[in-house]
Amino acid sequence: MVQTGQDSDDVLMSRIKRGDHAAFSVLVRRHNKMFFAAAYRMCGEAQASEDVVQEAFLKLWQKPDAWDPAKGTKFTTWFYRVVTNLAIDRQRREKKRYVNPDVMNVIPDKGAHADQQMQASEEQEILERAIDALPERQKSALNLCVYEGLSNKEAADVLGIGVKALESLLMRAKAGLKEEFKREGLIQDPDEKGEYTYERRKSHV
Amino acid sequence: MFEDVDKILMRRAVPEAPFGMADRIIAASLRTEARRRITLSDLLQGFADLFVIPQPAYALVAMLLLGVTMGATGQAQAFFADNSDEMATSFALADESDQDGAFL
Repeated sequence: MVQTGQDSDDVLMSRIKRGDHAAFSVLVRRHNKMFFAAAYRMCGEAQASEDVVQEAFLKLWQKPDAWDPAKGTKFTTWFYRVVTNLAIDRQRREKKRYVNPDVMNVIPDKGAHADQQMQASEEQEILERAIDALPERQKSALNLCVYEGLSNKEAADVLGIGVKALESLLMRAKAGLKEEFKREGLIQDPDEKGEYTYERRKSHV
Repeated sequence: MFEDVDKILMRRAVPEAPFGMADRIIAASLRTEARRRITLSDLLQGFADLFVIPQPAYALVAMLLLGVTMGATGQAQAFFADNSDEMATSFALADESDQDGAFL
């Protein structure tokens, strides 16, 4: 059978169900970066995220029938669920509260001054720590809606909850983050006057 | 309400996927496939697949045509077989009539 990179995910999955390894390769190359990012936002560590993505794709290869297009779920939505669940399982297993070791590697260095770089990396660390401290379901809802670009309906499907429940999770997640950002000085408290500066935030911390 | 939070959230960075990750996943799947081939359910499934008719309607039509053709051929053979019996009988009769020894 002729393989092209233009085939839809549905077509590739039907080939994979017949044991077509070339179709599997196309699917992996198409989506591995996107799902790596999703796993990273859950795990916060590159190696763990790669392991999660690999495990998810191997499960897919071994049991492609687990995805049933007749249920009307998009392949990517279903696979987000697989990756999210594996990432959550892994975190529970390891019970690891991470201070992201990769945080320093993700700050783009585009000629920024050392002070700006330090500020950016510090902000990343606060951000990661605040998101990681959220309850599991709030974190998943936030990751899926804010970073993975899923609609509320799709994210609710991934998490196996209703849209209203998802919206509630998002609200609580953002409210929690707002409090944390205020405490860390990333957001200016409305009671306080004056312009936000890095020095001002440093004085908060 | 959460515009300030959203702004900060948008600044969250993610590293690039590790180089060669897709290749490693594909290679791992090949090893998994080798193990998968020896499972009993796969063997049974393969055996069951031998009896699957991919296009039942075409298969039915083909069988009907084959049946009609064979039936017609059989009738023709029976017709010729019947005639040859008659010829054989007539030869037999002829042979018997030659028993007088006219040619001996």
